[in-house]
Amino acid sequence: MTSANQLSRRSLLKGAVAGSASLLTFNQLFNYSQLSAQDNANDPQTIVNLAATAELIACTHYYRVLTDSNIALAPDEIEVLKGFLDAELQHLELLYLNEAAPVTERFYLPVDVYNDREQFSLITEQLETTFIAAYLAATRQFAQLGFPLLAATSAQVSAVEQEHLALVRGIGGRRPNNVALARALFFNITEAVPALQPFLERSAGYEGPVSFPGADAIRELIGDVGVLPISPFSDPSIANVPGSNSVAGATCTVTPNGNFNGNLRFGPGLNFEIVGKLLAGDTVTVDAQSLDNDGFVWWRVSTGDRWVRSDVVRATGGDCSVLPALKT
Amino acid sequence: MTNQSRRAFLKAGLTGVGLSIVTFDQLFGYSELAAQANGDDVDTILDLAATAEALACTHYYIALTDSKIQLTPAERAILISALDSELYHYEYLTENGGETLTTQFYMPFNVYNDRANFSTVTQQAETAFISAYLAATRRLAELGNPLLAATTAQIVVTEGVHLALIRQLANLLPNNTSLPAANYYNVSEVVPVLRPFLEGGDGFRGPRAFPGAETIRGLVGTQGVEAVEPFTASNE
Repeated sequence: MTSANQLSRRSLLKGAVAGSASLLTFNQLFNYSQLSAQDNANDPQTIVNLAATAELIACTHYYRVLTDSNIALAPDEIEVLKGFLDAELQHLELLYLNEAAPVTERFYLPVDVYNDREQFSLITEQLETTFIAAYLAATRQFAQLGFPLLAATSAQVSAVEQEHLALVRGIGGRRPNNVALARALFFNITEAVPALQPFLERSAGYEGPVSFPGADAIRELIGDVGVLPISPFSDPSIANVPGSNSVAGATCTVTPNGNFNGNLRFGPGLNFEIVGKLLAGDTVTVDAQSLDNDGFVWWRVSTGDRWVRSDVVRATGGDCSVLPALKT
Repeated sequence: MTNQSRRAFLKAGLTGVGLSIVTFDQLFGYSELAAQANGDDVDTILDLAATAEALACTHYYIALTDSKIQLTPAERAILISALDSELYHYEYLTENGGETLTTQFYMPFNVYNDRANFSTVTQQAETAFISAYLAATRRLAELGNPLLAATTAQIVVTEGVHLALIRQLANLLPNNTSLPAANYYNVSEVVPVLRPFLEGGDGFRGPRAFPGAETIRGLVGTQGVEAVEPFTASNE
C-alpha cells in the first residue's frame, strides 16, 4: 500500500466521520421511531446511514477478534478474517463516498464472544445474517425507488457478507453452504434496527463500549493480506458494454483501485504475458476495450499494446463505457 | 420446501425440455440477444439464468459422480450442497417461466481429472453467473420489478459462496475481493461465455446430459441445503 493512497482514503474518512456522536440512546441518535414509521419507503439516506453503522460494527468486531481475542486462530483463519476486515472497511468507504452518516463509532459487543471459537462463530453468523438481510432489503428498496445501479451494488455487498457468513460457519465447524438462497428477513432495511440496537446501547449480555479502531489502524493490521478492490456497480465505468455505444476516438483515464498495483498484459486476457505494472496512484489514458473469454472487460493503454482489466481500476476522467470495442 | 412440492412444480416447469442439439444461434437467436445489449427483457433473463443453472447442476453432478478428483468428505458435502442449491435455483426459475435452452452441455477437457483445473473452470463459470445475476438485479430494478430484483440478489449471494468455497478447494484465499466483479451491464453479455458449453468447441467435449431433478435429489439424499423463501414470496 502506498502512503499516497492511504492519505486519500484517510482524508475521505476524516471528513465523513468527523463529529462522531456521543453515547446517547439509540432512539436519540437515530430517531428510531421515525425509522419505524417509514415502513415501505425508507429513503436512500436512511439506507446508507444504517448500512454504514452496520459496517462500522463489523469492522470493530473483526478487528477485535484479530487483536484482542483468546481464540486460537490458525494462520489461514487469520488470513480469512483479515480479508473480512478489509472488505468491510472498503464497504464502509464506499458508503462514505455516498454521503453516509453512521450514528456512532462506539459499540457494545456480546460478552465472551472473543473467548470461545463456537460463540464467535455463532454470534458472527447472526450478525452477518442481519447484514445480508438488510442489504437484500436495500436492494429491493433501491429497485423500488428507481436506483437500479444502487440496487445492484447492494447485491454485490450482500454477496460478500454471505461469503463471510459461510466461512465463519466453517470456523465454527459447521457446513459453510447450508442454504439455497440468502435469507430475506426484512422487507425494509429499518427492520434491522432491533437486531442492531444492543450493539449500540448498553444491554444485558453486552460489554463496552469499544471504539471503531479507525481506518489507519485497520490498514496497518491488514498489511499485505488485503482483498482486491472491485468497482461497485454504481461506478459508471462498469456500464461498459463493448461495442454497444462506442464513440470513435473516445478515451478516458483510469487509476488502480485502492492501494493495489494492476498488471499490464500484452493482450486482453489472463493468458497474455505480463508486460508491466500500473502502480497505485498512477493514472493512464486508455483508448479501447475488449471482452475476454471469461467475461472480463479489458482496457488498452493508449501508449501501446498493454491492457489492464477494467475491474481492478477505476475511471478518473472521461467515459470509459464508450471506448471503441476491439475484437482480438 | 419439501421434495414433494419441489417435484410437483418441477413437473410443470420441465415439460418440453430435452431439446435436440442445434446451434446456439438456432436455439436462442444469438443476434437477437446481442441486439438487446441495452435492455434484456424478463423472459431473456429467466431463460439464460435457467440455462446457466442447468449447466451448473450438470457440472457439479459430474464432479460428484464421474470424476478422478480425490474429494475429502467435507469437500464432497460442500459440492452436494452447491448442487442442491443450483437445482433449487433452476426449479425457481422454471417455475417462473424460465426455460433452459438445452439439457445437453459440453465441458472443458480434463476438468474432472485435476483439482486445479476443476477449481479454475468452476471459478470462471461462477464468476460469469454472478456477473449475470448482478446484471439481472440491475435490469429488473430498471424494469420496475423490485421483488424479482431482490430475488436475483439472493441467488447472487449463493453463487458468491460457491465461488469462495471452490477457491478454497484449490488452496486459494476464498475471500479475495471486496465485492464480486460486475462484468456485465446486461445478462445477455454472458452469452459468449456460455456458448462453448452449449455448442462445444476447441477444448470442450461432450455432450453430457442434465441429469434431471430426481437423479440429483437421489444423489443429494439428506445432505441438501435448507430451502429459503425467495423475496418474490413476500406478501408486501
